[in-house]
Amino acid sequence: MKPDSRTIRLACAAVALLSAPWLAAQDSFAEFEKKVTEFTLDNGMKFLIVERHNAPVVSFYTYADVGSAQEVKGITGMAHMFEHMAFKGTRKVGTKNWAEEKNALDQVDRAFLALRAERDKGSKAGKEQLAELDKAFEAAQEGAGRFVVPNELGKLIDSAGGRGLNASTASDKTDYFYSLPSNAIELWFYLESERFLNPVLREFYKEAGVVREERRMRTDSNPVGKMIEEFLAVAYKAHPYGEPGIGHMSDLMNFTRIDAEAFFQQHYMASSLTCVLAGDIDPKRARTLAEAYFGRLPKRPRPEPVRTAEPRQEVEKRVLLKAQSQPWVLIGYHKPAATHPDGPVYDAIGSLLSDGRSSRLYRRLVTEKKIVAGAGGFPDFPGEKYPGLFFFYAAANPGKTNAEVEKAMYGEIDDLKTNLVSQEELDGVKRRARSSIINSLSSNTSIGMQLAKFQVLTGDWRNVFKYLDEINKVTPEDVRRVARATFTESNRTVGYIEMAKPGEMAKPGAGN
Amino acid sequence: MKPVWTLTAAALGLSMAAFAQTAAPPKPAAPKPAPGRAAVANLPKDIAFPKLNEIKVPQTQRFVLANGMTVFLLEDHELPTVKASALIRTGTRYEPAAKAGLAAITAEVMRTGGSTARPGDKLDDELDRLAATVEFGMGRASGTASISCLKEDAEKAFIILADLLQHPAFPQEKIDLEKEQARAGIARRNDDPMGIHGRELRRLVYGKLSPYATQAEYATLDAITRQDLLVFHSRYYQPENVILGVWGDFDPAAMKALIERTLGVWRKGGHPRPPVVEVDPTLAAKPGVYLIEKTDVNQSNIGLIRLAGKMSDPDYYDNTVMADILGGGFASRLFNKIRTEMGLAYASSASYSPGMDIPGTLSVFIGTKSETTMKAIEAMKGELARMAAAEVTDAELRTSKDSILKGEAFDYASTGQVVSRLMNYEYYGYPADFLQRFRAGIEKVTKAGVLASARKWLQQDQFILLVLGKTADFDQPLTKLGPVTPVDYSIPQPEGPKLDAATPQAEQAGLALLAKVKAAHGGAALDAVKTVSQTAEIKISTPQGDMAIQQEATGSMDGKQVVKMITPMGEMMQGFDGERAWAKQGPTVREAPAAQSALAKQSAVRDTISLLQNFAKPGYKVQALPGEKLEDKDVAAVAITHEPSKTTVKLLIDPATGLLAGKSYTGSVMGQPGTVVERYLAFGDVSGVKLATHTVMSLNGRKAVETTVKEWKVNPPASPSMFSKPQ
Repeated sequence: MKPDSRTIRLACAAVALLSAPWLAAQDSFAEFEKKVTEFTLDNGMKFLIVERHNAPVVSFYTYADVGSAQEVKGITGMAHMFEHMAFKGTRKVGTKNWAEEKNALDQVDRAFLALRAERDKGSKAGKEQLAELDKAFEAAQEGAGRFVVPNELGKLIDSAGGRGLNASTASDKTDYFYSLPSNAIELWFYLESERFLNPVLREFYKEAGVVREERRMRTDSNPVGKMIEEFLAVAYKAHPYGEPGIGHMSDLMNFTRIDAEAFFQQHYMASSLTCVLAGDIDPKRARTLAEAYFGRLPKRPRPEPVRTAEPRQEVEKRVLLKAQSQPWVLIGYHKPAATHPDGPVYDAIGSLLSDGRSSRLYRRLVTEKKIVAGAGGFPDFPGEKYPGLFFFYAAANPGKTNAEVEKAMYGEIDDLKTNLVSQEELDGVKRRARSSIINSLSSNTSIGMQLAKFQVLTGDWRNVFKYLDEINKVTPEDVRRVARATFTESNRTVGYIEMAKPGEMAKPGAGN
Repeated sequence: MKPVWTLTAAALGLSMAAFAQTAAPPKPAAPKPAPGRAAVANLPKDIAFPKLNEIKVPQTQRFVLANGMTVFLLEDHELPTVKASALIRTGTRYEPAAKAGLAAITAEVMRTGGSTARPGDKLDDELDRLAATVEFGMGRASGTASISCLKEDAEKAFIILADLLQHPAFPQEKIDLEKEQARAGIARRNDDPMGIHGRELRRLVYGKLSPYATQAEYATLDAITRQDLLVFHSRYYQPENVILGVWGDFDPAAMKALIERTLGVWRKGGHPRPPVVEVDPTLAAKPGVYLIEKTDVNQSNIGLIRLAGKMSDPDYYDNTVMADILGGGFASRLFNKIRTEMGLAYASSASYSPGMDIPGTLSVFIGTKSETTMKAIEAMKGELARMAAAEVTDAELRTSKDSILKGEAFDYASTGQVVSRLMNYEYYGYPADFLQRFRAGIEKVTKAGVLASARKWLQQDQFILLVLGKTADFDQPLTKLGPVTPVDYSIPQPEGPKLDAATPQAEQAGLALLAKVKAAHGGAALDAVKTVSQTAEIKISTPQGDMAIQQEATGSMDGKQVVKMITPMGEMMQGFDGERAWAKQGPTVREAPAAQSALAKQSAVRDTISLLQNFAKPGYKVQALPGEKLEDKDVAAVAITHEPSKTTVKLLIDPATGLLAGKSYTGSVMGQPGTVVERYLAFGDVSGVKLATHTVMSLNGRKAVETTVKEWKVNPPASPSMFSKPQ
């Protein structure tokens, strides 16, 4: 597993300068480790406090150990939907009168269920009944809307001078983040603890409409987005990594606030949350506030793990999407989870292939053969927690075909299986890894992301730095061994996007 | 840091005050803190905000080198790195329109091509050994240079940066590579609907001929020479045009000495400072409704845009708050109305982007499903009208101002950001304390000021409205809003290689050759052709192997055609009625995108019979070219240019028989642009006309399509309606 880095085209170093400190990762990062205080509340919630007093600001990063991989058929998209709902407020924030609003929200659910039941009859549904139920549903929503103080959570953060309020959902995680001036930290303790103590999923069905628009934007109306969805659906036949994180349109039309509450109860408990607070903050005070505010979260057992495993792939799979788009080639090979002992070897392969101007895909395919406009390859798509794909992509230059590009990509992949990489090239990877980690420590926000990810996936944030020791141990033989084991024909899925001619286009999904 | 007990006490006190404010009936008692625990606030307003710790404004050093370069230095010893960034007085706005792409290619090849002492690829290796990056970039109004490295490598990185700035080698091979990359970018620029929409909004609001909206095209790339790069570099890359900022882990005296050693020796260029290129408002599209028809999407992109002012304008502060309340964030009206309340959009925002030295834009963006396009537009227009109708509320004004003012500490959270800000102020001639002035300006904004701003800038008849979407699925026609102008977003196809101006001799020789060709192909019989039809077997080379298609095609000499194809996947028809191309598969009939129609029109001009019928007529120019080889055969060559459509075709002629051996032109095959060469391997005689029965077509040197004609018919029974789009 590789630390995140915002730095693109980080240069790789070729020569191990003896004076360079990267050989001894621990020493060089000891200084940083001193700034970190960690504690776990009685209910299992984990905190990391990183002191950086350069400016009176603090960044808050909450990593919830739940993602779209925890979804099942019927509620695809729910992890992301809940993320949206976590901005809707609580029993105290975003309401004019919680007691009455609660009843009104229940009424909305009942109206939706009645409407859905009629819709479920399909062609046998009564037109008049549908219209009436739809009207009742609208009226119920309007009724509940009367109690809402819209977007109060966001407004409170804005009014305090907050920055960067947002959240994201991926296969393995849902994260929530923003920054505040350091005198306003208690506001975060308040809002974030209420968010996971008493979230109110108000305006649920309208927000589902917003998420459907997000799906139309990212997937339905975007050729590459559409292709990624098809590609993963083909590459995975068993594991939930094959399902779209944004959710199937029918699920986004049909899941309910009750489903979302159940998802929350099942997956959001104190022990599934890890928070990193980085900036001008006193760890003692942070602990006092954490115990007061987050100590209120109930201790609940963690959900059952995902036990469905993707079986070994035994045939090459291919997908062709014809779209209003120039050609793309995607290639994915199944690999173990990022935490597997070979994780650093896969990271090294990704780095050799696609980091920097001297990386193999750039130098050979862009500069020398001039066959692609761009290409890359990296491990752990779409996620790191469970076995993901080693994922390659390439965009053909005008006049080159996908078939030519695919062949050229295999040329580079086969090179890794046949020839040993030079020690010099591998040293570049190691040097680059160190630069990348240093750069990730340059802002409160990126520190939060980095530490939380390692804490949750490996059990210890210090592995951000131990990872350097691991990557330093990678040998040319490791690279060849792993490449041979992974990059086989029967283990791969290949996707093409080709320009559709008139008449060849699939009809865009119905709007709903 | 304040001791914990003070805060706990404050929080408790405020909690109690909050209870006091709450009306009866009495509420349950506040949750009792566990022993040793701080109390929690009941409501957000109960939370006490202590005084903010002091904002340490990092002290930046500024000095000017003898050669005129301005330098900012800021120490930051937190991490063992050194970063530098430079603003250079250049930009795409200074490149000639006919050579659009020149500025960006110059910047990129300064890096990839290396210097005279350090060839590009070796430089990649050298930088790799240093674990450093040195890069150049190009914007519309400035160029950039940057360094990122570990502190021990700073010296080497500065030596490289200085070398590249002063002595770029600009090798032809890297220029060609960069052009190829730029061509790929052009080919791919219509792949993402949001990308198309954003680009075309800009082209409308500034005007597609404005230097603030031009983009590289195949033709402008072809026009760029190495000499152009040399001239552009020497004109703009001079030390007096550079503002350099350096921050990170260094000793300022040593860094200053390093800069003097490496960049201080760069000799002055002596060119005057390039003046601001003003925006020409006459180039802009008129306010009104514009449409990009896209049939493969289920979501409409809706954008409103108009030119707004500069950051130096007195109403900058009012406008900032006005746009923030309209569509800035979670608290904004557009977000609350269109996203939260109506559930119509994921993206709904307003953006006020005043320019630093030219007028910027005020814009609104919404993405909504096709079926609610008009509903969303109306809601958006309603919010604009509401802003201009009455003052905002006190709460809205307070939230907006607080969000800007209370976040002051973030303006000093990173040293890179502090340096970059000062560099930008310097570059555009703003005072160094402009940030403080900005805060003071925001502080003074009133509800009346916001209303005045809305009334000035939100006049709806001043906006360009651009909708990208599938109109067939819209809830109501866009024409309800007024006349709708379609936007041509097609990619201008590459023009053929430029021919030298024809000499009278070459023209005469060309006409004579073509007369011979025409005679060989049927003479008067050829002139009598009005319509031809063919039944053919076509083999298309695809990545998956050859694909065979049966084709029945009819074409008329006024450019119309209809083609029926029987493929392994089923039957398909395509047609062109002279204006519009269409396709039919099964019961579905679709109109082709505008770009496709343009291609069909061009391909009609290239038709061999049409060329031979018309080459001597007005509008056509002919010139003989030197002989060449076609698959080892010597052939004569004549270029025919159809001037109205700027289409040039090269006919390749067997000098012995006068029959055509082939034809070449710049066009596209199966949607891929490039150089097309047709070779004619056999002919058949049909009603006195000699027509090719076996043709091999290649694209960029690779075989693409092979056609074997089973039957030709000249002037078969045909009706004009056969070319029209079936109903």
